[in-house]
Amino acid sequence: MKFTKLLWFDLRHGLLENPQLFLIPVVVALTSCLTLSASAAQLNTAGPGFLDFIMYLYGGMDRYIPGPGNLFTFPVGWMAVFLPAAFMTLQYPFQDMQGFGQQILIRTKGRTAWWLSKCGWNLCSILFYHGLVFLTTALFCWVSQASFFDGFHKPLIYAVFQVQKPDMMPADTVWHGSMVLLPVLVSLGLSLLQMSLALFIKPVFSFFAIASLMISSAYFTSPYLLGNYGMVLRYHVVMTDGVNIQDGVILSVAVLLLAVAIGGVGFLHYDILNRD
Amino acid sequence: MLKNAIKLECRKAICNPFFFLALVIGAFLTLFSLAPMAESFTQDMEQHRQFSEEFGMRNPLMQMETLFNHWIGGEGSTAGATNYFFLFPLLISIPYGWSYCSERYSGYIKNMVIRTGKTQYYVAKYTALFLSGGLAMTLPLLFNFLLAAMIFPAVTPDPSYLTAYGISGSSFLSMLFYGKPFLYVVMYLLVDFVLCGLIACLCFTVSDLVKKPIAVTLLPFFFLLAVHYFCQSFVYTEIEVMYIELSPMYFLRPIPLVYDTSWLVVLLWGILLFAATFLPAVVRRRWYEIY
Repeated sequence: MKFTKLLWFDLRHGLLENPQLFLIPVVVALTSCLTLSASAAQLNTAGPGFLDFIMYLYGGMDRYIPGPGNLFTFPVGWMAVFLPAAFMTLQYPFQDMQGFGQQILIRTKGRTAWWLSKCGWNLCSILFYHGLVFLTTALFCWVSQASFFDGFHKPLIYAVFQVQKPDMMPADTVWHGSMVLLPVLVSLGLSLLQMSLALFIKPVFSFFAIASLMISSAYFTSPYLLGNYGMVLRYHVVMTDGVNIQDGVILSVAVLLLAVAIGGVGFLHYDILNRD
Repeated sequence: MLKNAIKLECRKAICNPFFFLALVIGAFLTLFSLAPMAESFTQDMEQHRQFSEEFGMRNPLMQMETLFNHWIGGEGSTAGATNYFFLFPLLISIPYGWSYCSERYSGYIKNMVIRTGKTQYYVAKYTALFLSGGLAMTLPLLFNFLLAAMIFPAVTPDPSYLTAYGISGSSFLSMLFYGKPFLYVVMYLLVDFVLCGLIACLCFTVSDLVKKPIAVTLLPFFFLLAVHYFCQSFVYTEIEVMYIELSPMYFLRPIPLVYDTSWLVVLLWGILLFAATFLPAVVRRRWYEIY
Protein backbone atom coordinates (compact mmCIF):
# COMPACT_ATOMS: atom_id res chain seq x y z
CA MET A 1 0.00 0.00 0.00
CA LYS A 2 2.81 2.40 0.99
CA PHE A 3 4.77 1.50 -2.12
CA THR A 4 1.72 1.98 -4.35
CA LYS A 5 1.02 5.44 -2.93
CA LEU A 6 4.65 6.44 -3.29
CA LEU A 7 4.76 5.14 -6.86
CA TRP A 8 1.59 7.01 -7.76
CA PHE A 9 3.06 10.20 -6.29
CA ASP A 10 6.33 9.72 -8.21
CA LEU A 11 4.53 9.02 -11.48
CA ARG A 12 2.43 12.17 -11.09
CA HIS A 13 5.30 14.45 -10.09
CA GLY A 14 8.22 12.80 -11.85
CA LEU A 15 6.60 12.27 -15.23
CA LEU A 16 4.62 15.51 -15.30
CA GLU A 17 7.29 17.79 -13.82
CA ASN A 18 8.96 18.47 -17.16
CA PRO A 19 6.50 17.32 -19.81
CA GLN A 20 8.38 19.28 -22.50
CA LEU A 21 11.21 16.75 -22.27
CA PHE A 22 8.89 14.17 -23.81
CA LEU A 23 9.01 16.16 -27.02
CA ILE A 24 12.54 14.82 -27.53
CA PRO A 25 11.55 11.22 -28.45
CA VAL A 26 8.82 12.60 -30.72
CA VAL A 27 11.28 14.88 -32.54
CA VAL A 28 13.96 12.20 -32.80
CA ALA A 29 11.48 9.60 -34.12
CA LEU A 30 9.96 12.05 -36.59
CA THR A 31 13.39 13.18 -37.85
CA SER A 32 14.51 9.57 -38.33
CA CYS A 33 11.32 8.67 -40.19
CA LEU A 34 11.70 11.65 -42.52
CA THR A 35 15.38 10.86 -43.12
CA LEU A 36 14.70 7.21 -43.88
CA SER A 37 11.82 8.08 -46.20
CA ALA A 38 14.06 10.49 -48.09
CA SER A 39 16.84 7.89 -48.34
CA ALA A 40 14.41 5.24 -49.57
CA ALA A 41 13.10 7.63 -52.23
CA GLN A 42 16.67 8.36 -53.38
CA LEU A 43 17.65 4.69 -53.43
CA ASN A 44 14.43 3.72 -55.17
CA THR A 45 14.03 0.57 -53.06
CA ALA A 46 10.97 -1.12 -51.64
CA GLY A 47 9.75 0.02 -48.22
CA PRO A 48 10.12 1.46 -45.72
CA GLY A 49 7.59 -0.12 -43.39
CA PHE A 50 7.02 0.29 -39.67
CA LEU A 51 9.74 -2.20 -38.73
CA ASP A 52 12.23 -0.49 -41.08
CA PHE A 53 11.64 2.82 -39.32
CA ILE A 54 12.13 1.18 -35.93
CA MET A 55 15.24 -0.59 -37.22
CA TYR A 56 16.61 2.77 -38.42
CA LEU A 57 16.10 4.25 -34.96
CA TYR A 58 17.54 1.35 -32.98
CA GLY A 59 19.92 -0.15 -35.57
CA GLY A 60 23.07 1.53 -34.31
CA MET A 61 25.98 0.80 -36.61
CA ASP A 62 27.89 -1.98 -38.30
CA ARG A 63 30.82 -3.60 -36.52
CA TYR A 64 33.85 -1.28 -36.39
CA ILE A 65 37.24 -2.69 -37.31
CA PRO A 66 40.09 -0.27 -36.49
CA GLY A 67 42.63 0.12 -39.24
CA PRO A 68 44.59 2.60 -41.33
CA GLY A 69 42.23 4.99 -43.04
CA ASN A 70 39.20 3.61 -41.18
CA LEU A 71 38.26 6.32 -38.68
CA PHE A 72 35.48 5.76 -36.16
CA THR A 73 32.31 7.84 -36.57
CA PHE A 74 29.76 7.33 -33.83
CA PRO A 75 26.08 6.52 -34.60
CA VAL A 76 24.51 9.84 -33.68
CA GLY A 77 20.93 8.77 -34.46
CA TRP A 78 21.19 5.83 -32.08
CA MET A 79 22.81 8.01 -29.41
CA ALA A 80 19.99 10.54 -29.84
CA VAL A 81 17.50 7.82 -28.84
CA PHE A 82 19.30 6.47 -25.75
CA LEU A 83 21.08 9.41 -24.16
CA PRO A 84 18.08 11.75 -23.71
CA ALA A 85 16.29 8.86 -21.97
CA ALA A 86 19.23 8.58 -19.57
CA PHE A 87 19.16 12.35 -18.99
CA MET A 88 15.44 12.41 -18.27
CA THR A 89 15.71 9.91 -15.44
CA LEU A 90 18.82 11.47 -13.92
CA GLN A 91 17.59 14.29 -11.76
CA TYR A 92 14.26 13.50 -10.17
CA PRO A 93 15.31 10.94 -7.47
CA PHE A 94 18.07 13.18 -6.08
CA GLN A 95 16.19 16.42 -6.41
CA ASP A 96 13.24 14.80 -4.64
CA MET A 97 15.57 13.59 -1.91
CA GLN A 98 16.60 17.14 -1.10
CA GLY A 99 13.24 18.80 -1.26
CA PHE A 100 9.78 17.55 -0.53
CA GLY A 101 10.97 13.96 -0.72
CA GLN A 102 12.73 14.28 2.64
CA GLN A 103 9.34 14.85 4.25
CA ILE A 104 7.94 11.81 2.47
CA LEU A 105 10.91 9.70 3.49
CA ILE A 106 10.43 10.56 7.15
CA ARG A 107 6.72 9.78 7.01
CA THR A 108 7.04 6.46 5.18
CA LYS A 109 9.51 5.31 7.89
CA GLY A 110 11.18 2.99 5.42
CA ARG A 111 13.75 3.61 2.76
CA THR A 112 13.09 0.43 0.79
CA ALA A 113 9.60 1.47 -0.32
CA TRP A 114 10.98 4.88 -1.34
CA TRP A 115 13.75 3.30 -3.38
CA LEU A 116 11.45 0.76 -5.00
CA SER A 117 8.99 3.49 -5.95
CA LYS A 118 11.83 5.42 -7.58
CA CYS A 119 12.80 2.28 -9.50
CA GLY A 120 9.18 1.88 -10.57
CA TRP A 121 9.04 5.50 -11.66
CA ASN A 122 12.28 5.04 -13.59
CA LEU A 123 10.98 1.96 -15.42
CA CYS A 124 7.68 3.68 -16.25
CA SER A 125 9.48 6.78 -17.56
CA ILE A 126 11.70 4.74 -19.88
CA LEU A 127 8.76 2.66 -21.10
CA PHE A 128 6.79 5.85 -21.71
CA TYR A 129 9.75 7.39 -23.55
CA HIS A 130 10.20 4.44 -25.90
CA GLY A 131 6.43 4.10 -26.18
CA LEU A 132 6.40 7.64 -27.56
CA VAL A 133 9.08 6.66 -30.09
CA PHE A 134 7.04 3.70 -31.26
CA LEU A 135 3.81 5.70 -31.28
CA THR A 136 5.32 8.56 -33.30
CA THR A 137 6.71 6.07 -35.79
CA ALA A 138 3.34 4.33 -36.04
CA LEU A 139 1.58 7.66 -36.61
CA PHE A 140 4.10 8.58 -39.29
CA CYS A 141 3.49 5.23 -41.02
CA TRP A 142 -0.26 5.80 -40.87
CA VAL A 143 0.01 9.34 -42.27
CA SER A 144 2.51 8.35 -45.00
CA GLN A 145 0.54 5.16 -45.74
CA ALA A 146 3.59 2.99 -45.13
CA SER A 147 2.99 -0.66 -44.40
CA PHE A 148 2.78 -2.01 -40.85
CA PHE A 149 2.94 -5.70 -41.66
CA ASP A 150 5.49 -6.03 -44.45
CA GLY A 151 8.37 -6.91 -42.16
CA PHE A 152 11.93 -5.71 -42.76
CA HIS A 153 13.18 -4.62 -46.17
CA LYS A 154 16.76 -5.87 -45.98
CA PRO A 155 18.18 -4.14 -49.11
CA LEU A 156 17.01 -0.78 -47.75
CA ILE A 157 18.45 -1.48 -44.30
CA TYR A 158 21.80 -2.55 -45.75
CA ALA A 159 21.92 0.51 -47.99
CA VAL A 160 21.11 3.15 -45.34
CA PHE A 161 23.50 1.64 -42.79
CA GLN A 162 26.19 1.18 -45.48
CA VAL A 163 27.02 -2.28 -44.17
CA GLN A 164 29.64 -4.63 -45.51
CA LYS A 165 27.68 -7.44 -47.16
CA PRO A 166 30.12 -10.22 -46.17
CA ASP A 167 29.49 -9.22 -42.53
CA MET A 168 25.77 -9.88 -42.82
CA MET A 169 23.92 -13.15 -42.35
CA PRO A 170 22.46 -14.82 -45.48
CA ALA A 171 19.41 -13.15 -46.97
CA ASP A 172 17.12 -16.04 -45.99
CA THR A 173 17.81 -15.58 -42.24
CA VAL A 174 14.58 -14.63 -40.55
CA TRP A 175 14.42 -11.35 -38.59
CA HIS A 176 11.64 -11.49 -36.03
CA GLY A 177 9.85 -8.21 -35.38
CA SER A 178 10.05 -8.79 -31.63
CA MET A 179 13.84 -8.35 -31.68
CA VAL A 180 13.33 -4.56 -31.79
CA LEU A 181 12.03 -4.74 -28.22
CA LEU A 182 15.43 -5.74 -26.78
CA PRO A 183 16.82 -2.16 -27.06
CA VAL A 184 13.97 -1.02 -24.81
CA LEU A 185 14.98 -3.63 -22.22
CA VAL A 186 18.61 -2.49 -22.55
CA SER A 187 17.51 1.10 -21.96
CA LEU A 188 15.64 0.01 -18.81
CA GLY A 189 18.78 -1.71 -17.50
CA LEU A 190 21.01 1.27 -18.30
CA SER A 191 18.66 3.74 -16.69
CA LEU A 192 18.45 1.78 -13.43
CA LEU A 193 22.20 1.25 -13.48
CA GLN A 194 22.65 5.01 -13.82
CA MET A 195 20.28 5.71 -10.95
CA SER A 196 22.10 3.23 -8.68
CA LEU A 197 25.52 4.59 -9.67
CA ALA A 198 24.37 8.10 -8.82
CA LEU A 199 24.04 7.02 -5.18
CA PHE A 200 27.78 6.44 -5.03
CA ILE A 201 29.10 9.10 -7.41
CA LYS A 202 27.47 12.38 -8.41
CA PRO A 203 24.60 12.13 -10.95
CA VAL A 204 26.68 13.99 -13.57
CA PHE A 205 29.42 11.38 -13.29
CA SER A 206 26.94 8.52 -13.47
CA PHE A 207 25.62 10.01 -16.72
CA PHE A 208 29.22 10.34 -17.86
CA ALA A 209 29.77 6.65 -17.12
CA ILE A 210 26.64 5.62 -19.05
CA ALA A 211 27.59 7.83 -22.03
CA SER A 212 31.08 6.34 -21.97
CA LEU A 213 29.56 2.84 -21.88
CA MET A 214 27.38 3.66 -24.89
CA ILE A 215 30.20 5.06 -27.01
CA SER A 216 32.48 2.18 -26.02
CA SER A 217 29.72 -0.27 -26.97
CA ALA A 218 29.50 1.38 -30.38
CA TYR A 219 33.28 1.05 -30.73
CA PHE A 220 33.71 -2.52 -29.48
CA THR A 221 31.41 -5.31 -30.70
CA SER A 222 31.48 -7.24 -27.46
CA PRO A 223 28.84 -9.35 -25.68
CA TYR A 224 30.08 -7.90 -22.37
CA LEU A 225 29.19 -4.30 -23.22
CA LEU A 226 25.46 -3.84 -22.65
CA GLY A 227 25.08 -1.16 -25.31
CA ASN A 228 25.71 -3.73 -28.05
CA TYR A 229 22.36 -5.33 -27.30
CA GLY A 230 20.77 -1.93 -27.94
CA MET A 231 21.96 -2.06 -31.57
CA VAL A 232 19.67 -4.27 -33.64
CA LEU A 233 22.21 -4.30 -36.46
CA ARG A 234 24.65 -6.25 -34.28
CA TYR A 235 22.34 -9.12 -33.41
CA HIS A 236 23.46 -12.60 -34.39
CA VAL A 237 20.48 -13.00 -36.78
CA VAL A 238 21.52 -9.84 -38.64
CA MET A 239 25.31 -9.86 -38.56
CA THR A 240 27.78 -12.77 -38.58
CA ASP A 241 29.46 -13.15 -35.17
CA GLY A 242 26.91 -10.75 -33.78
CA VAL A 243 25.68 -10.63 -30.19
CA ASN A 244 23.16 -13.22 -29.10
CA ILE A 245 19.65 -11.90 -28.42
CA GLN A 246 18.98 -14.35 -25.59
CA ASP A 247 22.24 -13.32 -23.90
CA GLY A 248 21.11 -9.72 -24.27
CA VAL A 249 17.83 -10.40 -22.52
CA ILE A 250 19.58 -12.22 -19.68
CA LEU A 251 22.27 -9.54 -19.28
CA SER A 252 19.75 -6.68 -19.36
CA VAL A 253 17.50 -8.31 -16.77
CA ALA A 254 20.55 -9.16 -14.62
CA VAL A 255 21.82 -5.56 -14.77
CA LEU A 256 18.35 -4.28 -13.97
CA LEU A 257 17.90 -6.53 -10.93
CA LEU A 258 21.46 -5.97 -9.69
CA ALA A 259 21.04 -2.22 -9.98
CA VAL A 260 17.82 -2.34 -7.95
CA ALA A 261 19.43 -4.59 -5.33
CA ILE A 262 22.75 -2.74 -5.01
CA GLY A 263 21.02 0.62 -5.14
CA GLY A 264 18.61 -0.51 -2.45
CA VAL A 265 21.44 -1.58 -0.16
CA GLY A 266 23.36 1.63 -0.96
CA PHE A 267 20.33 3.79 -0.23
CA LEU A 268 19.85 2.19 3.19
CA HIS A 269 23.19 3.75 4.20
CA TYR A 270 22.85 6.94 2.14
CA ASP A 271 23.14 10.18 4.10
CA ILE A 272 20.46 12.42 2.65
CA LEU A 273 21.00 15.31 5.02
CA ASN A 274 24.59 16.22 4.12
CA ARG A 275 24.17 16.33 0.35
CA ASP A 276 24.01 19.56 -1.61
CA MET B 1 37.66 45.48 -8.01
CA LEU B 2 37.17 43.67 -11.31
CA LYS B 3 40.67 42.22 -11.09
CA ASN B 4 40.00 40.90 -7.58
CA ALA B 5 36.67 39.44 -8.65
CA ILE B 6 38.29 37.68 -11.61
CA LYS B 7 41.08 36.35 -9.39
CA LEU B 8 38.56 35.04 -6.89
CA GLU B 9 36.36 33.37 -9.50
CA CYS B 10 39.33 31.86 -11.34
CA ARG B 11 40.69 30.48 -8.09
CA LYS B 12 37.28 28.95 -7.35
CA ALA B 13 37.12 27.50 -10.87
CA ILE B 14 40.63 26.08 -11.07
CA CYS B 15 41.25 25.08 -7.47
CA ASN B 16 38.15 22.98 -7.11
CA PRO B 17 37.92 19.18 -6.97
CA PHE B 18 35.71 18.95 -10.05
CA PHE B 19 38.34 20.65 -12.19
CA PHE B 20 41.01 18.22 -11.04
CA LEU B 21 38.63 15.31 -11.53
CA ALA B 22 37.86 16.45 -15.08
CA LEU B 23 41.59 16.70 -15.80
CA VAL B 24 42.28 13.26 -14.32
CA ILE B 25 39.42 11.65 -16.27
CA GLY B 26 40.53 13.40 -19.47
CA ALA B 27 44.15 12.37 -19.00
CA PHE B 28 43.06 8.81 -18.21
CA LEU B 29 41.01 8.65 -21.41
CA THR B 30 43.96 9.86 -23.46
CA LEU B 31 45.99 6.91 -22.19
CA PHE B 32 43.53 4.63 -24.00
CA SER B 33 44.70 6.28 -27.20
CA LEU B 34 48.40 6.23 -26.35
CA ALA B 35 48.66 2.55 -25.45
CA PRO B 36 47.19 1.08 -28.69
CA MET B 37 49.10 3.63 -30.76
CA ALA B 38 52.38 2.65 -29.06
CA GLU B 39 51.64 -1.02 -29.69
CA SER B 40 50.77 -0.45 -33.34
CA PHE B 41 53.85 1.76 -33.79
CA THR B 42 56.11 -0.97 -32.40
CA GLN B 43 54.57 -3.57 -34.72
CA ASP B 44 54.75 -1.31 -37.77
CA MET B 45 58.34 -0.31 -37.11
CA GLU B 46 59.26 -3.98 -36.75
CA GLN B 47 57.72 -4.70 -40.14
CA HIS B 48 59.49 -1.72 -41.69
CA ARG B 49 62.78 -2.85 -40.17
CA GLN B 50 62.35 -6.38 -41.56
CA PHE B 51 61.68 -4.88 -45.00
CA SER B 52 64.84 -2.80 -44.70
CA GLU B 53 66.89 -5.83 -43.71
CA GLU B 54 65.44 -7.96 -46.50
CA PHE B 55 66.04 -5.44 -49.27
CA GLY B 56 69.19 -3.85 -47.86
CA MET B 57 67.77 -0.34 -48.04
CA ARG B 58 65.92 1.97 -45.66
CA ASN B 59 62.18 1.47 -45.93
CA PRO B 60 60.77 4.81 -47.10
CA LEU B 61 57.43 3.98 -45.43
CA MET B 62 59.06 4.56 -42.04
CA GLN B 63 58.34 8.26 -42.53
CA MET B 64 54.62 7.54 -42.17
CA GLU B 65 55.11 6.75 -38.48
CA THR B 66 55.32 10.12 -36.82
CA LEU B 67 54.26 11.82 -33.59
CA PHE B 68 51.74 13.90 -35.52
CA ASN B 69 49.54 10.96 -36.54
CA HIS B 70 49.99 8.97 -33.36
CA TRP B 71 48.94 11.44 -30.67
CA ILE B 72 45.26 11.54 -29.72
CA GLY B 73 44.52 14.52 -31.96
CA GLY B 74 46.19 12.95 -34.99
CA GLU B 75 44.35 9.64 -35.01
CA GLY B 76 40.69 8.69 -35.04
CA SER B 77 40.71 4.93 -34.62
CA THR B 78 41.32 4.22 -30.94
CA ALA B 79 38.79 3.89 -28.14
CA GLY B 80 40.55 6.66 -26.20
CA ALA B 81 40.22 9.22 -28.98
CA THR B 82 36.62 8.17 -29.59
CA ASN B 83 35.66 8.53 -25.94
CA TYR B 84 37.56 11.79 -25.39
CA PHE B 85 36.19 13.66 -28.39
CA PHE B 86 32.65 12.42 -27.73
CA LEU B 87 32.63 13.22 -24.00
CA PHE B 88 34.61 16.49 -24.04
CA PRO B 89 31.45 18.68 -23.71
CA LEU B 90 30.87 16.99 -20.34
CA LEU B 91 34.52 17.34 -19.30
CA ILE B 92 34.51 21.08 -19.99
CA SER B 93 31.27 21.83 -18.10
CA ILE B 94 31.86 19.65 -15.06
CA PRO B 95 34.57 21.91 -13.48
CA TYR B 96 32.53 25.12 -13.15
CA GLY B 97 29.39 24.98 -15.32
CA TRP B 98 27.15 24.43 -12.30
CA SER B 99 28.52 27.38 -10.30
CA TYR B 100 26.24 30.26 -11.29
CA CYS B 101 23.11 28.13 -10.96
CA SER B 102 24.25 26.84 -7.59
CA GLU B 103 25.25 30.30 -6.29
CA ARG B 104 21.94 31.81 -7.31
CA TYR B 105 20.07 29.03 -5.52
CA SER B 106 22.16 29.35 -2.35
CA GLY B 107 22.02 33.16 -2.25
CA TYR B 108 25.80 33.56 -2.54
CA ILE B 109 25.28 35.78 -5.58
CA LYS B 110 23.65 38.47 -3.43
CA ASN B 111 26.71 38.66 -1.20
CA MET B 112 29.03 38.93 -4.18
CA VAL B 113 26.98 41.52 -6.03
CA ILE B 114 26.70 43.94 -3.10
CA ARG B 115 30.47 43.80 -2.71
CA THR B 116 31.65 43.84 -6.31
CA GLY B 117 28.74 45.07 -8.39
CA LYS B 118 26.78 43.11 -10.95
CA THR B 119 28.89 43.71 -14.04
CA GLN B 120 32.14 42.82 -12.29
CA TYR B 121 30.65 39.65 -10.87
CA TYR B 122 29.23 38.51 -14.20
CA VAL B 123 32.41 39.32 -16.14
CA ALA B 124 34.49 37.49 -13.52
CA LYS B 125 32.17 34.47 -13.63
CA TYR B 126 32.25 34.42 -17.43
CA THR B 127 36.05 34.65 -17.49
CA ALA B 128 36.44 31.85 -14.95
CA LEU B 129 34.04 29.61 -16.82
CA PHE B 130 35.81 30.30 -20.12
CA LEU B 131 39.22 29.53 -18.65
CA SER B 132 38.12 26.39 -16.83
CA GLY B 133 36.36 25.01 -19.94
CA GLY B 134 39.30 25.78 -22.21
CA LEU B 135 41.85 24.29 -19.83
CA ALA B 136 39.76 21.18 -19.14
CA MET B 137 39.80 20.47 -22.89
CA THR B 138 43.38 21.31 -23.78
CA LEU B 139 45.42 20.17 -20.77
CA PRO B 140 44.67 16.43 -21.27
CA LEU B 141 45.42 16.83 -25.00
CA LEU B 142 48.72 18.51 -24.15
CA PHE B 143 49.47 15.75 -21.64
CA ASN B 144 48.90 13.13 -24.32
CA PHE B 145 51.00 15.04 -26.85
CA LEU B 146 53.93 15.34 -24.47
CA LEU B 147 53.73 11.66 -23.51
CA ALA B 148 53.48 10.69 -27.19
CA ALA B 149 56.51 12.87 -27.95
CA MET B 150 58.51 10.60 -25.64
CA ILE B 151 57.58 7.55 -27.70
CA PHE B 152 57.06 8.54 -31.34
CA PRO B 153 59.57 10.40 -33.52
CA ALA B 154 58.62 13.95 -34.46
CA VAL B 155 59.14 13.41 -38.18
CA THR B 156 57.74 16.24 -40.30
CA PRO B 157 54.83 14.75 -42.27
CA ASP B 158 55.50 14.16 -45.95
CA PRO B 159 52.60 14.98 -48.30
CA SER B 160 53.46 11.84 -50.30
CA TYR B 161 51.95 9.81 -47.46
CA LEU B 162 48.88 11.95 -46.87
CA THR B 163 46.62 8.90 -46.65
CA ALA B 164 48.55 7.85 -43.55
CA TYR B 165 47.89 11.19 -41.85
CA GLY B 166 44.29 11.80 -42.95
CA ILE B 167 45.06 15.47 -43.66
CA SER B 168 44.52 16.40 -47.29
CA GLY B 169 45.33 19.64 -49.08
CA SER B 170 41.85 21.00 -48.42
CA SER B 171 41.92 20.23 -44.69
CA PHE B 172 41.92 23.01 -42.15
CA LEU B 173 45.49 24.30 -41.51
CA SER B 174 46.93 21.58 -43.78
CA MET B 175 49.78 23.86 -44.93
CA LEU B 176 50.88 24.19 -41.32
CA PHE B 177 50.60 20.45 -40.79
CA TYR B 178 53.00 19.64 -43.62
CA GLY B 179 55.24 22.66 -43.07
CA LYS B 180 55.34 23.39 -39.36
CA PRO B 181 53.55 20.51 -37.60
CA PHE B 182 54.32 21.72 -34.07
CA LEU B 183 52.70 25.03 -34.91
CA TYR B 184 49.73 23.08 -36.31
CA VAL B 185 49.30 21.34 -32.97
CA VAL B 186 49.62 24.63 -31.06
CA MET B 187 47.10 26.35 -33.34
CA TYR B 188 44.59 23.52 -32.99
CA LEU B 189 44.99 23.50 -29.23
CA LEU B 190 44.34 27.24 -29.28
CA VAL B 191 41.20 26.78 -31.40
CA ASP B 192 40.03 24.03 -29.02
CA PHE B 193 40.78 26.24 -26.00
CA VAL B 194 38.80 29.18 -27.30
CA LEU B 195 35.81 27.26 -28.65
CA CYS B 196 35.55 24.90 -25.68
CA GLY B 197 35.79 27.85 -23.33
CA LEU B 198 32.88 29.47 -25.15
CA ILE B 199 30.91 26.21 -25.17
CA ALA B 200 31.40 25.92 -21.40
CA CYS B 201 29.99 29.45 -21.07
CA LEU B 202 26.70 28.14 -22.49
CA CYS B 203 26.08 26.84 -18.95
CA PHE B 204 26.12 30.41 -17.70
CA THR B 205 23.69 31.54 -20.37
CA VAL B 206 21.09 28.84 -19.78
CA SER B 207 21.19 29.17 -15.99
CA ASP B 208 18.29 31.60 -16.09
CA LEU B 209 16.10 29.20 -18.05
CA VAL B 210 17.11 25.99 -16.29
CA LYS B 211 17.08 25.95 -12.52
CA LYS B 212 18.91 22.70 -11.87
CA PRO B 213 22.73 22.51 -11.79
CA ILE B 214 22.77 18.97 -13.23
CA ALA B 215 20.73 19.99 -16.26
CA VAL B 216 22.83 23.13 -16.75
CA THR B 217 26.03 21.05 -16.71
CA LEU B 218 24.74 18.57 -19.28
CA LEU B 219 23.15 21.07 -21.65
CA PRO B 220 26.32 21.90 -23.69
CA PHE B 221 26.73 18.18 -24.38
CA PHE B 222 23.15 17.84 -25.62
CA PHE B 223 23.44 21.07 -27.59
CA LEU B 224 26.47 19.76 -29.51
CA LEU B 225 24.82 16.35 -29.92
CA ALA B 226 21.71 18.06 -31.33
CA VAL B 227 23.83 20.11 -33.78
CA HIS B 228 25.61 16.95 -34.89
CA TYR B 229 22.30 15.09 -35.24
CA PHE B 230 20.83 17.95 -37.25
CA CYS B 231 23.88 18.01 -39.59
CA GLN B 232 23.76 14.22 -40.10
CA SER B 233 20.02 14.19 -40.75
CA PHE B 234 19.45 17.28 -42.85
CA VAL B 235 22.75 18.65 -44.14
CA TYR B 236 24.89 15.63 -45.13
CA THR B 237 22.31 13.90 -47.28
CA GLU B 238 24.32 12.98 -50.40
CA ILE B 239 27.12 10.45 -50.22
CA GLU B 240 29.03 11.78 -53.24
CA VAL B 241 29.14 15.44 -52.15
CA MET B 242 32.11 16.77 -50.14
CA TYR B 243 30.46 18.95 -47.54
CA ILE B 244 32.17 21.26 -45.07
CA GLU B 245 32.23 19.97 -41.49
CA LEU B 246 29.91 22.08 -39.37
CA SER B 247 29.66 20.01 -36.21
CA PRO B 248 32.06 20.99 -33.40
CA MET B 249 32.06 17.37 -32.20
CA TYR B 250 34.01 16.55 -35.34
CA PHE B 251 35.87 19.69 -36.36
CA LEU B 252 37.39 20.25 -32.92
CA ARG B 253 39.43 17.13 -33.59
CA PRO B 254 42.76 17.95 -35.26
CA ILE B 255 42.10 15.18 -37.77
CA PRO B 256 39.05 15.39 -40.07
CA LEU B 257 36.86 12.33 -39.63
CA VAL B 258 34.53 12.71 -42.59
CA TYR B 259 34.60 16.23 -44.05
CA ASP B 260 37.12 19.06 -43.79
CA THR B 261 36.24 22.22 -41.99
CA SER B 262 37.35 25.76 -42.81
CA TRP B 263 38.40 29.00 -41.13
CA LEU B 264 35.00 30.48 -41.91
CA VAL B 265 33.17 27.75 -39.99
CA VAL B 266 35.51 28.02 -37.01
CA LEU B 267 35.26 31.82 -36.93
CA LEU B 268 31.48 31.79 -37.31
CA TRP B 269 31.13 29.31 -34.48
CA GLY B 270 33.39 31.48 -32.33
CA ILE B 271 31.40 34.62 -33.08
CA LEU B 272 28.02 32.92 -32.61
CA LEU B 273 29.04 31.31 -29.34
CA PHE B 274 30.45 34.57 -28.03
CA ALA B 275 27.30 36.44 -29.01
CA ALA B 276 25.10 33.73 -27.52
CA THR B 277 27.02 33.60 -24.25
CA PHE B 278 28.53 37.01 -23.46
CA LEU B 279 25.60 39.19 -24.47
CA PRO B 280 22.85 37.42 -22.50
CA ALA B 281 25.11 36.40 -19.64
CA VAL B 282 26.86 39.67 -18.97
CA VAL B 283 25.30 42.54 -20.85
CA ARG B 284 21.62 41.76 -20.51
CA ARG B 285 21.91 40.45 -16.97
CA ARG B 286 22.99 43.84 -15.68
CA TRP B 287 19.32 44.79 -15.69
CA TYR B 288 18.10 41.60 -14.05
CA GLU B 289 16.66 41.65 -10.57
CA ILE B 290 18.60 39.10 -8.53
CA TYR B 291 16.48 39.39 -5.40
